[in-house]
Amino acid sequence: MANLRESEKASEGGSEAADWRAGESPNSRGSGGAHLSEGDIHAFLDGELAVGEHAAVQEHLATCEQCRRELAALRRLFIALDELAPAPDLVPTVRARLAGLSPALPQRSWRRWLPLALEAAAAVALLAWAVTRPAAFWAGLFGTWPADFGAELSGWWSGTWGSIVAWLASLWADLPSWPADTWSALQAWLGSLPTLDLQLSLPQWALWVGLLVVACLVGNALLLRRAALNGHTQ
Amino acid sequence: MAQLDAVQEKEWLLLARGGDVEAFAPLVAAHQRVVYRIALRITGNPQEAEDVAQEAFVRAFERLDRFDPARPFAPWLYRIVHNLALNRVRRDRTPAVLGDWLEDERGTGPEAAAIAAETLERLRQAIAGLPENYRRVIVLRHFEGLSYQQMCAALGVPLSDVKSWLFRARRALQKSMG
Repeated sequence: MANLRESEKASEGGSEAADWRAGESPNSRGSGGAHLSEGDIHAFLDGELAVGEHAAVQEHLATCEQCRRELAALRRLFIALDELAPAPDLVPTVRARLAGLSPALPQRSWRRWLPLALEAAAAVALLAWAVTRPAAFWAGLFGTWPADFGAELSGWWSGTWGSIVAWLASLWADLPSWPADTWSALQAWLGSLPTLDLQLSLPQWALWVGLLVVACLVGNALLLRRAALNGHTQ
Repeated sequence: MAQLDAVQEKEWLLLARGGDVEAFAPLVAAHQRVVYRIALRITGNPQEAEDVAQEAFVRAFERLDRFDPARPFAPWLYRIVHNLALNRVRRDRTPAVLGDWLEDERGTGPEAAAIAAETLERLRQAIAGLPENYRRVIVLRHFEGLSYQQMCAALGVPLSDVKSWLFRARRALQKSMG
């Protein structure tokens, strides 16, 4: 390395002279207390030394406190400069690579949907059980509350569906290309929709709607959490 | 990206251990800067550092079932990237910087963080105040990761000039850090 420093100085000519301490090659260093040159220390930290030179510098550093201090001081600058250097966003590429791995881990992927599926199943089961209870069940449970709301709702159900069917019929009349037998089948299906005997009182309706809303909110909380996960990665 | 607190990190880790790739994304976002810095310090090259950092996260995800969630995640992750970066560099050449990177990354409290922020701001201003040639070599070496030879080619000057400018610039910046 001493030879290299001499040839570099000779080639500088009009350009700025390198301002580093004159130092011997690490390979020729003895126990006389010679230190690393500034160029050696910088090149060592920059990874610009050949393997042999790198090893020689390391060997010197193992025995020279002063050179270790200078190296540490320069290294602190390198670390601070790393802090200022722009860092890439690795999330999209890591996500893409992990997504490519996920087919290899099929036993793990379905579990995250299990809580939401259980919530949905519980909400549907609860509602189905509630609407199939006879009026006497609720009367016994909640007392003599007015039941006309359920009757009104049943009437709305029948009347509204009838209105919908009539509306669709008028729409159908304006669609000349629609096959007639398909429309007849659709009419028959719509007409066969059940009318529910919803003999529940208003407070009972409020209770079951409230439970359904809670079940939906809890289920949606899981979906919102998933959206928050995506938000974290922005 | 806000840092995760210990409780949040544990929640994401438990989900990620079950194979949830989306749950791993916040962990990547929280640690990517440090992981990249470790890789950059060892490889000395931004492109290689980015490859190594990505590979480290992929390896960490694959090995999550071997990780004990009761222990801190960061040291385990940093050890993965450290080993990957060293293997990459040893395969090709001598490492750029060797040292106790974990000591560097260890937090030392709000006071230390405030001091560090002030020092970085001084350093930022010092870089902006450097003569143009000195600033260019600092940017090319430390922000772009160019080697000495690559800087010579980019700037069209001899190696001796590149080294001279670089070493003087660093000396000036060291003084600004106090």
